[in-house]
Amino acid sequence: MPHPHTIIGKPARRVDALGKVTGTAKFAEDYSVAHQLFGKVLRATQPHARILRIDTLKAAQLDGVEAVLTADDIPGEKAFGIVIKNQAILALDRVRYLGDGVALVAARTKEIAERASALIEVEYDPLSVVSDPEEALKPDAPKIHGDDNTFVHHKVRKGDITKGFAEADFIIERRFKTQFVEHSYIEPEAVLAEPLEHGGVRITGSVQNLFSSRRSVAAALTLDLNKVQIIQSTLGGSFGGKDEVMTSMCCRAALLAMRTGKPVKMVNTREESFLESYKRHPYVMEYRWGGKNDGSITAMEIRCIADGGAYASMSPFVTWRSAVQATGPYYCENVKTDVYAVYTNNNYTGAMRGFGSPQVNFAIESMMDELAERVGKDPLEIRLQNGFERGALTATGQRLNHTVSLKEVLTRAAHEIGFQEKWSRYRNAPDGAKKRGIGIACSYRGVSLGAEGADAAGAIVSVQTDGSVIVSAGITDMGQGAQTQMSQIAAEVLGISMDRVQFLNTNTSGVPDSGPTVASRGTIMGGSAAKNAAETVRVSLIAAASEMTGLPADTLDLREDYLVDASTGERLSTFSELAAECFRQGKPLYGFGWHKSPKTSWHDEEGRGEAYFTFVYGANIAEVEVDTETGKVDVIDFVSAHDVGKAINRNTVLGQFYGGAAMGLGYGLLEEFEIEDARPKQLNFDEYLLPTSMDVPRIHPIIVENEDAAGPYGAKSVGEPTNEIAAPAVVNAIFNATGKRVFELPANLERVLLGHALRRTSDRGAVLKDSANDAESCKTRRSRE
Amino acid sequence: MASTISFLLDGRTTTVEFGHSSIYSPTTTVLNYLRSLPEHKGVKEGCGQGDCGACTVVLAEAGPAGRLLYRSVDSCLVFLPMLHRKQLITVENLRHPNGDLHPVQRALVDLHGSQCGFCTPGIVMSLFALYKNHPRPDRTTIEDAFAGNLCRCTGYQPIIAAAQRACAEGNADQFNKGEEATLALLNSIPRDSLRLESAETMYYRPAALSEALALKANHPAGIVVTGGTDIALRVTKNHDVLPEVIDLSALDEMKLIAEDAFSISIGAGAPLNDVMPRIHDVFPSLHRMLSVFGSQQIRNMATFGGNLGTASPIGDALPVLVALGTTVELSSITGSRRVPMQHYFTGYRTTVRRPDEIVTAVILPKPASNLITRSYKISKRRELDISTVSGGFSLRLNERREVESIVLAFGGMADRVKRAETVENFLAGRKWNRETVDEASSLIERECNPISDARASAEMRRIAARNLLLKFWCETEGLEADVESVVQ
Repeated sequence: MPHPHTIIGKPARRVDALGKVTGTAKFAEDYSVAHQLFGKVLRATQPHARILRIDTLKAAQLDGVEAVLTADDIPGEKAFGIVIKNQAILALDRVRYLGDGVALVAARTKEIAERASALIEVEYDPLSVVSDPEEALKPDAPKIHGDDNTFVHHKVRKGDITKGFAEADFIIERRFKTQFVEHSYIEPEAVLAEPLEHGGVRITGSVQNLFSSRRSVAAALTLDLNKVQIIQSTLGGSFGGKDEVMTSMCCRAALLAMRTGKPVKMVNTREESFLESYKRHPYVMEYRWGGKNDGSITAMEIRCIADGGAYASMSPFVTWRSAVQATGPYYCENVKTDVYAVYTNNNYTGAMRGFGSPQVNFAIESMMDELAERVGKDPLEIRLQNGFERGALTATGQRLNHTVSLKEVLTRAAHEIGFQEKWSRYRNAPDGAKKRGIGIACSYRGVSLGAEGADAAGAIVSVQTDGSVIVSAGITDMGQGAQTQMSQIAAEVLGISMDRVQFLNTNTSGVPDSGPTVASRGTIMGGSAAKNAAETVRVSLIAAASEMTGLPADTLDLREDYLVDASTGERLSTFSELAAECFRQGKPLYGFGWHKSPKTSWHDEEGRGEAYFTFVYGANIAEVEVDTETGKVDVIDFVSAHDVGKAINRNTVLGQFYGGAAMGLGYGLLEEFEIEDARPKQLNFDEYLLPTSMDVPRIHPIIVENEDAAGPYGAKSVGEPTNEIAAPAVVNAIFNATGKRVFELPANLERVLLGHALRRTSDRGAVLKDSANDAESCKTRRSRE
Repeated sequence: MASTISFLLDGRTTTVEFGHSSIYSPTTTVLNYLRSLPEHKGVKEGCGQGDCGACTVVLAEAGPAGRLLYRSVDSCLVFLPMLHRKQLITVENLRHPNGDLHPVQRALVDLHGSQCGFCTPGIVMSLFALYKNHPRPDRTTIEDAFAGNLCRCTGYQPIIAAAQRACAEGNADQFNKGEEATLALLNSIPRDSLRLESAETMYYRPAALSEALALKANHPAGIVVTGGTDIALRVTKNHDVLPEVIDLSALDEMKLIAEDAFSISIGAGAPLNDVMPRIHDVFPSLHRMLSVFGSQQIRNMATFGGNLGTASPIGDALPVLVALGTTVELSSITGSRRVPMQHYFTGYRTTVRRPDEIVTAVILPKPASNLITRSYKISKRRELDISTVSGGFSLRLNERREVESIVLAFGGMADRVKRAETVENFLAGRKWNRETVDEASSLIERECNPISDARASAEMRRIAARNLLLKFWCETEGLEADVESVVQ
C-alpha cells in the first residue's frame, strides 16, 4: 500500500466483544433444540482393568432412556488419534485411565440419563497400574499398549559431547520435574449433535480443531467427510485443550444422535472435565552442561521423559518441539538431546499453550542461572554472552536468517525494571522474614507447526452487493482474537472500516481444511490467507472501478470506505457503490485465499533439520517477595517483552501478554493436577488453584516489532511465547531472594519453605550431583543460605 | 404462609410456584432457574460450586435509608426461595433501554476486558456491583471486587483498567432513576413466611425468629440454611435430596449487629460483608481475616451462623473468634444459652448444639486495651482459597513482659478448631521472649496431629504453625514492622 496503515497496528475493538459483554454470545451449552436428548458417559471406575462384562439391560429399560451404547455399537473406526490411533471412543475390552468412557446413555432429561448410567453394570478384572513415567520405563512395568511403554523418542545431535565435556572446566548436572497442568478453560466441554436430512450429522460445539474432530467422527460413523458438519460455537477458552477430548465427545454425541435419530446434547460438569480431559505433560528432565570459566558452554547433554498418560494424543509433536528447543537460544557446539514419551495409567497428555516448551524452558533457564552463579556473572550478562544472534546455528543445525532479537528483548526488559541493580541489591540483602528477589528468563520459539506436518490455511472474503463483507476461515477463534485480527487484515486490504466486516464462526462445510488452530499460527497462517483472499477481491473491485471511471487501475485505491484517486485522494465513489457496480459488471466479489508456509525439514535419524521457518524471541522478568516463614511467594512486579514481528492489533497482542504471563505464573507457583496411583486428587477449582485477580501483579508489556517476511504485514506469533518463560523467571527470582533453587514446579508453599514436596515418596527433582570441579560453586551458593 | 415466591426480574414481579407439577424445586439454584429461561442464558456455569464466578448475578434489596442494596452472589449457591422480595439482576439487564451499553460493559469492550467471553457475564456483574457500591475505587478494592471471578484469558489487567474507567464516572446509571419504582415493587411483595412443598423437599422460610424456633423444635432434623454457600453444594455436587430445609435468610432479627460498652453481638444470619465495617475498628484482626474469607460473592451470603453450623476444622474465621473470647448464643423455644466458642466444638464437624437449637448470634467481648490479637491465614492463593493453616492469637502481658494470659487457636491442625493448651500453659507466667517462644513452638508438634491432604502435608502444617507463633512474637516485639498481620 502506498499510504500508511489505517487499521493494522491500531487497537481496534474486538469484533465479538458486544455479544460477550451483553450475554448474547452463544456458547456450546446455550444451543438447544426441540426434542433434544441428553447424552451421558459412564466412565471407568478402575484406572487399568480388563472389561469382563457390560450389562446395559436395566439402564435401557428405564423410562425415558432412548439408547444405551457400548463400543460394539460403533459402526466404523472405534479409535482415533492424530499420530497413533489408539484412543478408544468407548473402551473396547480394557480401560487405561479413570477418564475412559465405557458406555453411553441418551435420555429425555439429564437426570434420567444420570440415573440410567448408574444402572449399567460393568465387571472389571483389575490390572496392575503404572502411574510414574520412570517406573513405566522399567522392563517389568505393566504395559499400557503393546509391549513397550516408550512410544516416542526424538533426538537432536550436534558435534561431539564427549569432546565438549572434555573441554569443560566444570560440569553442572541438575534434575528438574514439572507437573500436570489442567487447561482450565472456564467453559466446560459441550456439544449438540443433530442428524441431518441427507444422512449426515451436524455438530455444534466447543471444538478447537474442527477438521481433525470431523475426520474422526466420519471414520467412526462410516460417513464421508461431506456428511459431517462441525460448527464452532463461540469458544469459551481452549489453550490447546479442546482437541481430542472434544473429538471424543463429538463422536459419542454423533453416535447417539444417529442411533436415536434425535438431537443429542452433551455437557461435561467441571468434575467430568477434570477427570477426562488431557493435561500438560509432566516432564522429568536431566540436564548436564559442560562450561568454561569464562561462562561459555562446551556441551549439553539432555534427557527428558514425558508422561504421555494413557494415549498417544499429541505427545509425538509436543516432545518434538521440546527436543528442538531443549538447548534454549544459546550457542553450544556439542549437543545430545533425547526426549522420550511413555504411556502410564494417568490422564493422557497433549497440546497445551506452549506445547512442550514451558517444561524445557524451566530447566534451561534454571541451568543458565546456575551457570552464571558458577562463573560469577549476573543472569543478564550470561545470557547476553551465550545468546543467539543473526546467523547463529541452532542445535538442530538450522541457520537463523531472520532478525534475531533475543538480545533486544533481554536488554529492553532489563532496562524497564532496573534488573541488574535490583539483582545485586537483593542478593546481598540481610536476612529477614520477607526477602525480595528478581529473576529473568528468555526463550526462542519456532513459529507454527514447522516440520510436524503440512502447514497451510485458507480464508474467504466475500463482499456483498451493499458493500458489507463476510469473512470466514479455517483458523478458529478461541478467545485470542483471531476473528478480530483477520477482520482487520481484510478491512485494511479493502480500505474499509471494521464495522462493515462480519466474521462467521468456522463451519467445516464452508471453509477448507486449514489444519488445527495451534502453534501460535493463527495470525501468521490465517492472517496471510485472509490477506490473500482480500487481495483477490480487491483486484476484482479495482478492475470494476477502472471500467466504471475509465481511469487506469494503478491510479485507483480503496481508502476509508471510498474508491479514491490514489495520487490526489479524491473520492470517486463509495465502497458500497463500487461493490454494486462490480456485481453489475459480472465480476466476482468473492475471494479465496490460501497460504502455505515456507519449507521446513527434519531428519529423524540424524536428529537435525530446518525445524521451523522462523522464530520469535521473548524475555520475562519477575520480582518476588518470599515469606521465609511460610514459603509464600508473592509476585510484585513483572516485565514481559516479546518480539511479535508486527502487532496487527495492539490490544489483542497485549491481551496475550497479560493472559500468557498469568497462566505462566500459575504454572510456576500454584497449579498442579496431582495424580496418585493413577487417581486424580483435584477435580474442581476449589483445590486446583488458578491465579485470581489478587495473585497477578501489574505486568509491564514491551512489544518489540521486527517485521518478518514470513507473516502478514510482518506479523509472527504471540500466544504461546508469552506463556513459556514466566515460571523460570519466578524460580530464578526465588533463588535470588533465598539462595535456594526450586527444582520442581510448582514452587508452592512446601517446596519453597522445605525445599521438597512431602506427600510424594519418590524424590522429585533435586540436585543430582555436582562434579568434583564444581564443588566451589556449591560452596559459594551455600554460604549465602 | 405463602406457597409461592415473588421477586423482580426484567422489571416485573415474577412469581414461581412449587409443587408436584412445577419444574422447579425449592432447592433449585438461581443458576439453574435462569438457564431454564430462554432470555437469560447469559449466566454461565463454570464450576457449580462458587469457585469461578461465571454465574455471578446481582441481588438488590431494600436497604437502609430507603436505598437499594446491591450484592454480587454466585447464583449456583443460591436457592430460589432466597430471591423472595429481591430484585434479580443479570447481564441481560444492564443495557440502557435506549440500547446503550452500561458503563462497565462499555469499558470492557473498549479495553479488551473480554477474550473468550465465558467468564465475562460474571465479570460484568461483579463490576456492576462494584460500580454501584464504590465510586472511584482504588486498585485493591477493584482486585477484591472480582477476586471471586476466574478468568483464564486476560490476566485480569484489562479488566482492572476497565473497572477504573467505568467507576471513575461515579454511580450514574439508569438503575438510580428506577430505584424508587423498584423499591415500591419490592415492598408490594408481602413479607410472608413461606412453606414451599415439592415432591422431595419441604422448604420453610419463616419470617420471624419465634416461628423459626418452633419449626426447629418440630423438625429437629431440618437442615438450617442461613447463607447457603455450603449447604447448596450438597444439592449441586452430592445430588443429595434435602427433605426438610429451614431457611433463616429472611429473619431480620438474625442480621442485627448490636454494640454496647462491653461487647458486640453479631446476628448469626448477618452476611459477612455487613459484619466487616461494624467490627473494623474494634477487632482489626477479625476484619483482616474476613477480608480474605472466600470472595465478595461468598461474603455477601456467608454468615457466622453457617460457619458455626458447618463447624469445619478449617473454617477461616473460627480460630480468631476463639482467640477473641467469643461466645455462641444458642436458642430454642425453651430459651437461649451461651457457650464459649472454644467449648462449642466437640469433634470433626460436631458441636454441643442440640437438634432443637439454632445458632442465633455470636458475642465478642470488647478487648481490654492491652490485649494483643492477631489472625493469620496460610493459603496458596490470596483469596478464594481455604486455609491450609489458620491461627487466631491473643495475648496479655504484664509490666514485666510476662505472659498474663494467652490464647493460641489453630485451624487446620486438628479435627476441629483447636486451642494449643499445652503451649498456652507452658507460656503462662513466663517471659515473652525469643527463647521461651522457641521452646513453646516446639511443643505445638506434640499437641496437634494435622492431616495431609490436597492443601498441605502434615509436616508442612506443623512447621507453618510453629512459624506463625514465631511471627506473632516478632510482631509483638515490633520486629518486621512491614509484615502484614494476615499472612496471605
